Amino acid sequence: MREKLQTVVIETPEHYELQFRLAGIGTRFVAYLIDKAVQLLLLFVLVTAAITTYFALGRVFPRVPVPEDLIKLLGRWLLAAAILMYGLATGGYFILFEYLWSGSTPGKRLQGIRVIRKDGRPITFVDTAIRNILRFVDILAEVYPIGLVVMFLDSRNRRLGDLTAGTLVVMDEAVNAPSAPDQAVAGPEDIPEVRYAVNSMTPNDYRIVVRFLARREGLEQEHRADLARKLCLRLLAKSDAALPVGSDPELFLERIAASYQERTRVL
Amino acid sequence: MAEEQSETRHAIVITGFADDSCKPGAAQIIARISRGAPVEKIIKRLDSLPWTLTRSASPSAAARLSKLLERSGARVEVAPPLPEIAAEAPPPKIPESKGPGTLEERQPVPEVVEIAPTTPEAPPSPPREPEPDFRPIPSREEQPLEPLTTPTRRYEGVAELSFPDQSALSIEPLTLGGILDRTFHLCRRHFWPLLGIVAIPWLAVIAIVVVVVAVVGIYGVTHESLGETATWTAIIVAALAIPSALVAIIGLFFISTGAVIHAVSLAHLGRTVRIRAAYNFVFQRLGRYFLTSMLFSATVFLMAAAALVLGVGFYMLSNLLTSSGWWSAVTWPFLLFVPLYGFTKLVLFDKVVIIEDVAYGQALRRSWRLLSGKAESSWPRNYFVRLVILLNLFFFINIAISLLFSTPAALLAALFPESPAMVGKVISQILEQAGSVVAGLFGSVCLVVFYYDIRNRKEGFDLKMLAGIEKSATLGDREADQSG
Repeated sequence: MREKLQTVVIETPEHYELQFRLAGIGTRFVAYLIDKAVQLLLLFVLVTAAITTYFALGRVFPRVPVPEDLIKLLGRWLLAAAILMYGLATGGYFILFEYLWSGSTPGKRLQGIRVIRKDGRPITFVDTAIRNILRFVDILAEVYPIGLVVMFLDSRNRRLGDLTAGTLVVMDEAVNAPSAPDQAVAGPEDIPEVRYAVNSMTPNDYRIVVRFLARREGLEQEHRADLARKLCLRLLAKSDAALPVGSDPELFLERIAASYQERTRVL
Repeated sequence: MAEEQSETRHAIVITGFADDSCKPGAAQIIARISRGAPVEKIIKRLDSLPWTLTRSASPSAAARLSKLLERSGARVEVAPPLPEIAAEAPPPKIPESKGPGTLEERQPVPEVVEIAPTTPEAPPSPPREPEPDFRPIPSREEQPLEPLTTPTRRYEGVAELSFPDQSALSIEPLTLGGILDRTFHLCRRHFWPLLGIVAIPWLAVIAIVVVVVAVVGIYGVTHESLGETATWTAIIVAALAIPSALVAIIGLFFISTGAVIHAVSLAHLGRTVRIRAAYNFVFQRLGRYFLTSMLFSATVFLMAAAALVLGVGFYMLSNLLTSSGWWSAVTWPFLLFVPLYGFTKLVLFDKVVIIEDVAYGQALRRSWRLLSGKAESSWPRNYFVRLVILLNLFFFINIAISLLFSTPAALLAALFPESPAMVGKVISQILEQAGSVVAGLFGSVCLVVFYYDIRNRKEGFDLKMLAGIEKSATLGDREADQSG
């Protein structure tokens, strides 16, 4: 049931430990496909704009007396601008986004991942430039064959670009603030069975109950009712008690969870 | 200073009082440190012990607070015990695991002590009041299955990375990216056993090819000399051997597919994967698996036939109503969708047979039902659409894997142009087959992970496993017994 989760712990010079979950290969692949789609959209917009400009100028210039040299110069500048924009949309896309968005791109942000340096610090422009220049080796034919193998073989899911630049891709998980001090209040334990169940409850039992309550809306009705009933029976069996006649198992589990939470409330 | 920088945080739990008269004094102390909490409420709260005051006290704060409270007459437990307390106190009892489904501790408190019995109110009509083995809980229910702080090795000097072993994955609802992550994770972790299971039929094919080549080489049979050298005996032997070999190979591929499903299922649930055990397991369900596969093929065939009949009907109708029957071509994409839809909705049937031991029509219906409905708080919500997107994502990954295996062959051909064409062809064929084996393996793993994801989402399968409600039906009785 339980396996190792891929995490890295980075100790800062101040001896603080930062823990990150490594982004998996699949998540990174999906993020890349999203970025690719955004890139294609950008390119489409650029090409459409360039074609529109070209035709618009073609219509304007015959009517306006502009020196031919100026038209040629303008043409060259437009071409240069188009090449620059193309470069930005393809090669620069990842570099700029990762540099400006603290290691994220639109695809990465949607997948909740970002790039950091292996010492936990945000990536610099040089880091992102190196890892994205090497992307051209990793992606070969746009489907990441080399990157995929290197990531598969590396225990930290790093591709060539990451290995060279010394970067890691990690899950960008929200850090929950420690629970605020609560005021002490009496627990809702007016039903004896709730109290018996809570008394014999372990943290694991509590987690399962909380998980069930959080996910019950997504469960099929039949399984939801069955699971609620079985969880109640399991909890009550420890204290030789039975579910009160006519009581709703889910409501009972809610009470148990609330009571357990109440008892262990942090001051 | 060093102590304050310590990563250890202590939980302080009031478990009881020497007598009730001590409560006001303790309440005063708590009110003082909690900055303004009403004393009456604290006294009321002290009636239902144990009470975890904090889980994040530094060692010095924990020592001061526990001393203060003990002086007021309270019985206090500190978890993990403070160094000086630890020397006097008996070793803490770690709560025992309650069966295979239970989770390991993931609360901020690294170790949990069993709290001394409290004095709860007497119940009015008591069944036996249970032994109060009440323990602190994690403070963050939002991420109860993720480790918040982990005891890791300390590194001297420059910051470096470490890989703590204590953290773990659980089988919970996954995103599409998460399903792929899990797929790669399982493939990486159990690569050789899984590859062994998939490769066995291919090895059989290679063995047969080698035998045929040897026979041809030894007897010098060519297509010209075949007619002259053939005897009735040889013809009869060939007539029996060739179909038998074909059936054996097809059967082997069939069994290997089932074995992969079982092996991945075990791997996904954290069990050990063994090639022989996986094959043995499938042999037990081979009949039902085979017949259900036949039923699946027949169903998809019937759907395709129905689409074909409808297409002909539309053609004739269109011929009657318009100038050309080919106008009915507009209906073809929709008609083509019918067998594809049916195939996709039934595609989980083999997992159902192997993992749940449900066969025939029931397995097909179950696959259909699993892929119906919508997932909560996930994109895309529709299970069928999720599967379609997942298959498409895997299509890209398959291309990558195929490219990976075909590129070396192309490189070899380019680097050694003088080598015989036959050699290049053989190498390229071998690499292509190897690529398809690996890609097929990833695909099988991905579908099993997807199957479990649906069950977790719709049936709370992971919760049932964690609660110890469901196990043997999934793993097979023998496997469940083996895994203890």
